[in-house]
Amino acid sequence: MNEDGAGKRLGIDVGGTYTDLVLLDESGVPVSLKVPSVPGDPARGVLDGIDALGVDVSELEMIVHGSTIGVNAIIQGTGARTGLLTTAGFEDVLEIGTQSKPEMYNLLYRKPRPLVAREHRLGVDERMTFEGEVLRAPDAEEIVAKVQELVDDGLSSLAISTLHSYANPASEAAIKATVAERFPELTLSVSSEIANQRREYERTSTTVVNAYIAPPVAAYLNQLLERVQERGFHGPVFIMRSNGGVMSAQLAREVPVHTLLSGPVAGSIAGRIIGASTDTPNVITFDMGGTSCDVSVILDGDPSQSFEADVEGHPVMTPLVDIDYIGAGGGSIAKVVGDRSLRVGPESAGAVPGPACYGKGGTEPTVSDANVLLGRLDPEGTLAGGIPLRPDLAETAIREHLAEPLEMSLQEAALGVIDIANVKMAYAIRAVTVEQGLDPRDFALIAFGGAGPLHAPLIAQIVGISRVIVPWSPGTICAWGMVNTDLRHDVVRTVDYGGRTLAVEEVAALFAQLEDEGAQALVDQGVHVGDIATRRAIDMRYGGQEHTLTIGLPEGPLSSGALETLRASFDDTHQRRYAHSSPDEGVEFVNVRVEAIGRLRKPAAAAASTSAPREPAPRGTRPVVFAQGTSETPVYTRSELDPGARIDGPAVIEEDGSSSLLPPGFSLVVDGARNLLIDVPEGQLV
Amino acid sequence: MSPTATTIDPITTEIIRNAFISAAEEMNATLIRSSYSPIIYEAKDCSVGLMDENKRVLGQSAGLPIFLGNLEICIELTEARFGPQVWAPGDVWLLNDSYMTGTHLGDVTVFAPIYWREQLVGFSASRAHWLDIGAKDLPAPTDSTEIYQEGIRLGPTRVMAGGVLRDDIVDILQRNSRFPALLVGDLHAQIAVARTGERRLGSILDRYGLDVVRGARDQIFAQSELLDRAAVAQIPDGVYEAEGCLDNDGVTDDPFWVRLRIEVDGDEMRVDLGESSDMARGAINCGEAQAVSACRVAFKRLVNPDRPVTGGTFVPLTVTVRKGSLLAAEEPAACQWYFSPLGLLIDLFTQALAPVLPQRVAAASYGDSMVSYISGLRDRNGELFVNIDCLVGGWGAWDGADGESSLINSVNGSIQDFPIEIVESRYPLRVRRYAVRNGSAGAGRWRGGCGTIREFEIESDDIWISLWYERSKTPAWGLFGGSAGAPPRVDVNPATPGARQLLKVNRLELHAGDVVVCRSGGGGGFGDPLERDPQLVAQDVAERFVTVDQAREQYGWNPEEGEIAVA
Repeated sequence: MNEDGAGKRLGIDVGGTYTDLVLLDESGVPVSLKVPSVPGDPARGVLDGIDALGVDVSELEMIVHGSTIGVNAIIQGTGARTGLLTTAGFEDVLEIGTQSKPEMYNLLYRKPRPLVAREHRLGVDERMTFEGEVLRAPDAEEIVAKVQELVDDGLSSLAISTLHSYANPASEAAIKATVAERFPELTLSVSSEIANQRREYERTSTTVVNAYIAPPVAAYLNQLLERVQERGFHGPVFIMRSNGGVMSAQLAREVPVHTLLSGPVAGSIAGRIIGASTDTPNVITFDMGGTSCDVSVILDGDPSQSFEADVEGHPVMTPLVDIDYIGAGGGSIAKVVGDRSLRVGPESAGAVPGPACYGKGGTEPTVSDANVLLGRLDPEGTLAGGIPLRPDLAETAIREHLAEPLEMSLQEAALGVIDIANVKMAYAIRAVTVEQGLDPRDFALIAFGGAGPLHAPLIAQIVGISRVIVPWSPGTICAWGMVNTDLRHDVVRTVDYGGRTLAVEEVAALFAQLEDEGAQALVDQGVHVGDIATRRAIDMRYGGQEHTLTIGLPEGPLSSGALETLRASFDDTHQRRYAHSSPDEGVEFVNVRVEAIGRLRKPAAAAASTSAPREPAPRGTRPVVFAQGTSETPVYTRSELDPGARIDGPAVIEEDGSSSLLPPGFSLVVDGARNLLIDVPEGQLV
Repeated sequence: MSPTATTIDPITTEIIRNAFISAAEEMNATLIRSSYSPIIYEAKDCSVGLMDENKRVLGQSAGLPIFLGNLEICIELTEARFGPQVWAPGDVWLLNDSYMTGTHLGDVTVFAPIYWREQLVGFSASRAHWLDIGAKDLPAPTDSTEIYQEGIRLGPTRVMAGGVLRDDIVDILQRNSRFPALLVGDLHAQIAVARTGERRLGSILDRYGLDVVRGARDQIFAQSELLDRAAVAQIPDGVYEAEGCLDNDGVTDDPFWVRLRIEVDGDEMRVDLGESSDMARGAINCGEAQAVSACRVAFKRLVNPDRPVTGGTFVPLTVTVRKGSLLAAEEPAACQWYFSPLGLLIDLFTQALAPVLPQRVAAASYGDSMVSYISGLRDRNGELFVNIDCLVGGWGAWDGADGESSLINSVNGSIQDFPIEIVESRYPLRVRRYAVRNGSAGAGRWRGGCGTIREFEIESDDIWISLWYERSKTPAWGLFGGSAGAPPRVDVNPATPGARQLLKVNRLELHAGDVVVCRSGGGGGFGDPLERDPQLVAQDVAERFVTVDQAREQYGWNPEEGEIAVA
């Protein structure tokens, strides 16, 4: 992960509950801190964190930042008052959506509300064909009159999305020019600039989401920039994107829709970097927190990607690292259903009231309560902020709600809760691997988040994974991932014009154009041309199919040979994903894609110690309950473990905000970067 | 002696329950992953189930709501036909006979016995819609009068014997399809599903052994049954009835009645469909199995809708049909549109129980799939094509919320529409309008959702349209004083000398420049419209969901005074 030396940089990951900070300096040893977020004034929370960490921002070379401002605006309905201009006759595309009803047997189902009210979705008399031929050009007078209506109604942000604009942006560009000239105060979001792909609902939704969140995101970023600049910071602020790279804060103010899913993505990027540095190019990242788990798959060094996501019911077309969410975490509630069924989740005690052992009023037993009762979490430990845990309340909750009704011992009930939670998470990992044609036994599991290292070893055993990696400071790994990534800009163009096949020269010319666009976007963000690399890919499918696979192109000039390689690679991928392929069938190109990477200099990694490791010395012991029985188990302090140290289970390794469990039969070694590499004995998943 | 249910601890039971669910999900993923037809992998017109040796459900995953819980009937009927000794390791069966499966011939069920240590321990099954099995018209006729016009009809047929595919059977199938390659691809996908089920159930048995798995299974079934019985017991005892009619059967103009009588007696519910109309000449007949399925869907919407289905679910529900009626069709009844009476049946079930479950019911929805097939000789690539369009409509309101506009009907579910930009790039069609249909909602204190308008312009000759629009005689009714939503309507070349209005037609020829305007119905309202919050009425008028005239006439709205007139 280390290349050339670089100056100090700070990663800041603002979440709903906590703000995480990671400082990397020339030594390469990260310094991290978790502070409570300030929901009313997130910039204030960031500055508090900077103060607590004792950083002089004027010494920083760069800040890399991710926040949940955009997502929160959507969840809380506090985005800008937004209007939409679209092709007349299609104002309701946003309301009709995909028409589908995901909750099959819910008679009282509610669709997500559109972010723009119907009276603010106005049609313009214009039309284009699927080949980009203008049938009717938009009329400037009509546009001005329509926008005037919206402005009179107090709207401040406008989305522009017309039919077939992916084929020819001229009409949208004309509308934009007219509006920008007459209404310079409006924030404008244009579909062909933001999500230049076919599928009118998804493209319009993406544009509207951008329009809705752009003003609050810009206000926040301006405020943050102002405050750090007041303190003497003059370097760039980069913003984490959903695609795993970063972009300038300037650009993020214009197209914040591409940052919406960045939080968990930074964890996946950290997983990729740690995988590369530990010689395990195939990894599954497992980020378990209080209410949910985020899982991502990295195959051969590449995180699995997709190009469309759902944000609170609104589809968003944006390149993103694929993350699967499982509704199971430390706060998942265990309860008896019927007279003898024990269920864990999906209900969660959340942060408030939280598990019973938090002593904040929660009375229902949770996964965390079971961990405390079993001694896997330190019953004498504290929550962030130094509040002592309440093992007595955990015990009461488990006794009253589980052990007594099920006529079991406390320990049996608590072990059962953990076993059920682990099995559910194991099946979720199975779903993202086996059901995608991948064998989990070919992967390592990288565990982070507050609860990840506590559960991952046993989950790995159930799934058949033989190696678990716990990175340094697993509670703040997302912020660490941010400071270790690069700039990235993705460009896409829809090319499938009714099945007409493109000649090699046409494809090559298109790629050249997209590569220029991508590179230019990076240069505009301050990247030197020499630090730019591009990767090309095509969304392909067999004739008549609707779904596509994105296949990467080999480097070098585009020749018919390269296209043959691409074709073979498509057939292979199709075989793996769908268990069949048709090498004799015609294929169609649907979208061509370029990802442009602007390499950022990385800090050096910490120098590996050459002295022999100290023999690991436990801080003490405590009784911990395992499936095999109760053991008086050594407890180690993570920071006291030297590279090269080895420990055989049972053991617990504790650090700020996280504990790693090493059950009997498991063993670990600390590597040069202080990751815990855990060897997992064989298990069985049915 | 095998352990009884209560000797299996709840933790092992819960882990095994999760294993069954995971197994069914992997079977479903296998089907979606390996099928060749978009109607399966995109539209999810499919369903899978893992059953025990008694044909009771261990786990299932339905792509279409209407495929809920009746795969087991295929196995029972096969045994009834050939005897319990018919099963053998490595055999795989298929079946599509409408009178046995209940559905139309295009839905093919593939099932296989599962053996573990040489003992029959269960069955795996999947049902998927094959694109073409040789009906007289592509993709399906709207005017068939006998099942023989709807494609090849197969009783229980062994397609694989002792692990070897029977080439003679596959040959018959291929010769009866316009798309033989797709058909074989989808058949293999369903065989793969059977293998997945066998492997997963086998590994659960390897891990826990037969006695523990059976003990856990009994416990799981007992808990599902207990929860369903508890929910039914909360419904007051009594007899609840409802009836409604379909417009016609596509070939005659007579209405056909669906009548149901629900008797709630303690923790049991008995549904009698016997008073429904006799079999129709047209294709609205349904095999008994799917009538049972529809009752299960309707039951599920009111009884523990969020709980997974197991062999213990639906135990308190019994359904009686009358042989030879619309809902228990026999030879030679045509069954292509078997789901039209079922959508009506599902809504009527809710209507019947509304008086005693006012907090849990919604008014009726627009009801049917509202299908148009536009086929032609030359798509944009010059090839034969069919564009299948299902126009979604309005759902019924309930106590506390307006119904949804433009949402898929209750027999479908996760089917997504084809984007206009894709339709236009593939077919010689231009979509001129795609909008929520103003003024189509049933009025009420909570109003229904609105229907949808889709307007096509035809861009070439040699194009035909088939239509199946229903529920104009029984549009979505209201509840507790709410009124009905607008019925559906289709216009061909409106406001021209050749203008026509029609709801059902088989292969009407169209020419370049012709225009078709399709409108789906709205949902029913809930409660007295005069009690609607005036601000909501004003908002509806501002958003044009409700017309000014409707607001005045139905809601007593008086914009001059800015107030609701006192009724």
